[in-house]
Amino acid sequence: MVGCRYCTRAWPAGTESCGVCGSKLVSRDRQSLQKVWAWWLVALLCYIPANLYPMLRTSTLGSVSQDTIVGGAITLAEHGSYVVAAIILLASVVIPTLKFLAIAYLAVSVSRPSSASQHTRHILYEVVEYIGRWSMIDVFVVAILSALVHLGSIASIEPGPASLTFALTVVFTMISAQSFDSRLIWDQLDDDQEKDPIRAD
Amino acid sequence: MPTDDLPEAKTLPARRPLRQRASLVWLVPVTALAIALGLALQTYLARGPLIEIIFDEASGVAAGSTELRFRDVTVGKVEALEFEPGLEKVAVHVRLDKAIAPYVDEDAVFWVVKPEVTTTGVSGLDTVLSGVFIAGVWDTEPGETKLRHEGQPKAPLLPPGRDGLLLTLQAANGVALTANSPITYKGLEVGMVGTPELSRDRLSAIAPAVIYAPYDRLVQSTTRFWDTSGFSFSIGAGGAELDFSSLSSLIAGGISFDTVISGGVGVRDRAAFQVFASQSEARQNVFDAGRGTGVPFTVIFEENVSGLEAGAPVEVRGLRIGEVTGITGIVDPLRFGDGRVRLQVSLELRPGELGLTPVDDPTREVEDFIAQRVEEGMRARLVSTGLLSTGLKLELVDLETVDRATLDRANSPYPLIPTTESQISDASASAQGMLTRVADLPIEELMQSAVRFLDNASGLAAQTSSLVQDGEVRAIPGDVRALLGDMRGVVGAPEVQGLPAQAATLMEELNGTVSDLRGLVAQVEEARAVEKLVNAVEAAGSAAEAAEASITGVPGLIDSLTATADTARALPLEELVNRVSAIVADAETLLEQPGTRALPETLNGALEEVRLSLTELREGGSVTALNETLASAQSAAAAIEQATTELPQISDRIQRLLSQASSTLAGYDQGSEINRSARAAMTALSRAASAVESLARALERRPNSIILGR
Repeated sequence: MVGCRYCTRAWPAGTESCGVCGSKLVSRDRQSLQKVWAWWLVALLCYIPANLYPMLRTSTLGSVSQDTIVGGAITLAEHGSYVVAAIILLASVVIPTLKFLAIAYLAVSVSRPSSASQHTRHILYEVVEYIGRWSMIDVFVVAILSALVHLGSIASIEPGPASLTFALTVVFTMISAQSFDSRLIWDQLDDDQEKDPIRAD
Repeated sequence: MPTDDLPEAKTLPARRPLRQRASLVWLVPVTALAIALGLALQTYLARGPLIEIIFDEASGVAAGSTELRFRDVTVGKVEALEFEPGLEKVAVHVRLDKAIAPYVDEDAVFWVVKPEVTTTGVSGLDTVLSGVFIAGVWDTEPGETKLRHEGQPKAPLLPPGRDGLLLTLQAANGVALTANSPITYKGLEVGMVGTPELSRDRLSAIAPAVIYAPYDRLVQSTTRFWDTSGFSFSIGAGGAELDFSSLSSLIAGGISFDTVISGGVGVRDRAAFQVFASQSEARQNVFDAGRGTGVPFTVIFEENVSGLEAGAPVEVRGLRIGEVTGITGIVDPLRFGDGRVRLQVSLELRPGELGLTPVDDPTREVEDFIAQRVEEGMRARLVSTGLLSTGLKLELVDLETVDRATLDRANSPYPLIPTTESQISDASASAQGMLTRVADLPIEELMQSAVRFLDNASGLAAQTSSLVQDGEVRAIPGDVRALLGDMRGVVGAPEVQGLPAQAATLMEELNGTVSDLRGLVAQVEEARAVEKLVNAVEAAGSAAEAAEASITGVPGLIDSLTATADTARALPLEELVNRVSAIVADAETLLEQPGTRALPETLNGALEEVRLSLTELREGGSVTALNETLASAQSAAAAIEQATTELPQISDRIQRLLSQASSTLAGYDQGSEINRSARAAMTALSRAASAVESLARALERRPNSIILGR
């Protein structure tokens, strides 16, 4: 059996394309892990300048201030906006970092024996895929601020080079997560069941 | 849909080659990596050198944001700020653009541009919003990039790459040099004054200034600068006048210049000019060689005397070769060994006045010259400008006997010329002595005695006039006049007029007669007198009669004798003799009379006296009242003189005249007492007058004699 990844209709194994939506039916994406790792690497490459370069460039009456993501959060924290600082840190640093780690863990875990159960890893995958988009919150803030605060020399906010790379990081991690064929998690189960007689499908 | 037939044995497909297994997606990270590496490489390759600029303070300079600008274009960015060792200066690390780097060589100048509000305007306003930036200028010739530069506190007057003439302006008294004030030429702004500072001798303010091209050619050695700041207010016949050059110069100050006489030569860079207080003053000094062209020296005098002022001349044998530019006291126990105040004089000598024509280094050549002269015995000393003046001047004198000394070239601020004893103490002492003498002059006593004398003189004059007023004295001239009238009448009488001739003939006759008489008398006396002759004649007659009687034979002889006797008798001899003897007797009696004999002397004496008095009266011409009298007296004297010459001859007439004259003369003699006293008064008066006159003449001739006391 092979299930369509888009319309979830199951077809007999070997069916070339989905009769409902017409998408190509593949039982396993054999290049899934390669894609995951490739996008993950690009995302990681982008994540380095995203943290080193300024995210936001604020010029107020001629005085220009540039802040990186972490620097901005620290500045906010110094000014007492702990909540905002925490949100920024969470959305821009913690979540992307966790996402990198989670994807890497999942990718590694499908080819190597894992202590965690398939179910747990599947939940982890679901969480990563769901939460990944929220990392864009920082990029959106920058985009909105840049669009709104544009008062010439009095006050203007421009996105820094980090905003672009950060957005790319988010996009690439999302692609990376998308590339991950979650069924691979369960293939391990098949291998396990080959040793013991219990078969899932 | 469950099915019983199991799928085929599950077999893993054969491993495909890597080329087929590898997903194209790997191109993405490879591309990303390549882009990143490419960017990094490009950035690294495009990065210019990091230069260090050393500032005293880096106000407003921030690492990462402050820019380096050249012609207002960003050509670099400050990357880091750090202290120099010792924390005295700040090193600003600036990343230069690679394209610009070759131009930032030795001559590059950097300064921090900050917003500035001065009297001449607001500058650097753009930095208010954007923050400060570092401005740099350099020429357009590429060279080797210099990595370490000294930053300037402010913009250079004449940045590299701009043509112009740098000058040093020296403020005269009453001139205030203001930084950034404009230099104008006929209203055009052609230059700028830099930040003023104290001169090396700390006696005046100097400021660098720049005249930008092409106006730099206007400045020549004969150019004069003056201060145009402030305003002048004057009230004259044309009304009140308020004059100021421009509102900006009124606030900010300003300097103008002009070349009023031709013949100047171009000036070298950093040439010094003096800024005069006004245009008129500058024009007055146009033939002056100017202060700036001189070579400075220092002289330290042991004594600290007042009277020397800036601008006082420096002379050699009366020839002005320079001037004093500043005076200050100096106390330096370490150097002089005591805490006394000494007079430190800064002066400038002009090479042209010394007869030198320096080729390239006037300072050194003039110093060489002065050093040589000092070796030969030239010393500086203070001398008074005048005998009574308290002003001093500086004189360079050549002394024969003097201790060996040299020009101290190491002296600060200027070479030190050795000194010798000044001559001011003598001059002041003599001036003081002179003033003392003037003060000691018995002027008041003199004046009092003069007043007394004049009082006496006026009293005398009054006395004299009262004397003249006196009827008696007044009568004298009348008497004299009457006498003279009489005399003139006598003299004027035709007889008298004829008298001289008659008298002359008479005298001749008399003389002849007298000589005849004398001869006769001598003969008579020879013939034993006339009586004897008469007796002889009578005897002859008697003899004749006797002879007649006795000698009848000789009647003819007797007759002839008788005739002869008759003839002889007929001769008026007797009468003549009588008359002659009468005359002789008369004359003798006249002559025998002592009065007669004394008469000429008396008369002469009287006349002498009259003449003397007349002369004296004439000399004492101040008494005009007597002039008429004098004139008549003079004519009278002349008449008297004439009469006197004729007087001895006109004996008969003069007898009467004499009585008359003697009476008159007696009166005159009586009056001569008055006359004498008047004469004495006149003499005294004339002497007094002459004394006053001589005093006046003496004063006229040497008015200072009363001051000098000689």
